[in-house]
Amino acid sequence: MIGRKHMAWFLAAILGIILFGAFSFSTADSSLTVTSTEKTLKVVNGQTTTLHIGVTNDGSTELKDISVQIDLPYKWIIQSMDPGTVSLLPGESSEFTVVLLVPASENASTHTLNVSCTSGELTSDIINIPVAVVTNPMFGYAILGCIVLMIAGTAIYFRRNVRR
Amino acid sequence: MYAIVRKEIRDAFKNRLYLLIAAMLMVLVIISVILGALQVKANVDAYNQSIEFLKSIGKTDLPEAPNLNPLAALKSYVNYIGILGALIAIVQGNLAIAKDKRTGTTPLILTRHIYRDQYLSAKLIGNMALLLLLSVSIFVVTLLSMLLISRAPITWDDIARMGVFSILSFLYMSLFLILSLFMAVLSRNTKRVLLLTVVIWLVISFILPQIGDTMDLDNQLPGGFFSSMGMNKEESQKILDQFSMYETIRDGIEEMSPTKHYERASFALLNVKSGFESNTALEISAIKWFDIAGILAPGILLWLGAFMVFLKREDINEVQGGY
Repeated sequence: MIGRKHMAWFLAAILGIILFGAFSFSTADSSLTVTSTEKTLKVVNGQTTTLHIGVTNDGSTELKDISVQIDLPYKWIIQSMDPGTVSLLPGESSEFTVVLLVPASENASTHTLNVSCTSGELTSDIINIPVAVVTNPMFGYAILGCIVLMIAGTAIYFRRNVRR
Repeated sequence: MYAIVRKEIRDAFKNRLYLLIAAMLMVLVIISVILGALQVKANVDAYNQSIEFLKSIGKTDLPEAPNLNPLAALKSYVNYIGILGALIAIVQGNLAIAKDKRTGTTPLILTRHIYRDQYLSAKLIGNMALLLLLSVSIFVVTLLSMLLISRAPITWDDIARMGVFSILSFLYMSLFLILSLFMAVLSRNTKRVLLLTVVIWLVISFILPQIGDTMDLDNQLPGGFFSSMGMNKEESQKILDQFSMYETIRDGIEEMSPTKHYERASFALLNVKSGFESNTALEISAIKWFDIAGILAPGILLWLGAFMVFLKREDINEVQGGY
């Protein structure tokens, strides 16, 4: 039979294990924190947009070769990423500047970019950045210009040929 | 002018070909909407049954209702309007000019106090009124089917989306009506020009989008070309990076098709394409302005073109053989 004193030690040990586990999991999860300056993005199709991704080492050891992972929609391209990778000492932060190219064939729509940072086996939480793809307003002006030109042409044509 | 508008509407209801295609369109739309509504109803019933079962075994943590999207029942409607809706508009537009040429009434009408552009406008308004009537009828039947059959919760925003979609369908059909009127005015032979208009419709509605799809590298194999070649997303993006000009040309060909624009805007409104679930009907219209302009602008340009062509026609006194 287990005595009352032993039982207390036993329960304390279990509680300690649980607390240690929770603590150790939380440090693993939060040792790499990713943030974004842009909470939402609006981009014209066929053009580029810049994303600023911040990363912080909240852990107690140095993290090397930290890179940004972005789950991009089909045909979107990462045109550049500066820097490619970083190494951070505990408590240090850095920022990645990512230039994304949205293809011209992308229709006006909304997407969500899933952004995370990795360093070896360690992966940060994923942040979601909603992106609204809009059509280039120049097309609108071009269409409007064509209609205005056609109306003017029709008016001139009717004046020259006499309305009948 | 209003006499011509009224006559266009009366004549349409006496025309067997028009009535036959309109009836076919209505029947197809009703069947597709009912089938779609029944599918939504089956999903609603399955969800309700699972909730009842969970409650009966004492579960309190019940799952949220899935996104049933009752509007997806209208997906087939988009295809029918794209085919039969356009065809009915082409027949209407051609008949509007052909019947007057056949009976030789065009020069007679133009001896009255009416300008040629007014004559054409009356023809357009009359036939557009018919298309509007068709669109409104389909909207009412669709809404009733959704409410009575599917039993899925339909919000005011869903109704607004269906309304904007119906307006878009009406504009799409009107574009082909104007194209057909323009072609009928342009040519002396209304029989041959009907065939030519149908060929143009086939090219812009089926061939151009098909070329665009065929040119899409990743559309060539089931599951995607790149994945079947064992490439990951980064590798495939590196390849796509080298094909930006090709991609621009491919996209340009697709953009020339009003049917593609109609499909894109409609699928966004009906939630068939994801990413628009949280937007209102007006917001979607604002986002999809380019697709709406892709339907409206060619119609306006063709209409002005028809005015100019008809103004200079000197052979309208010639009577032609009709249908």
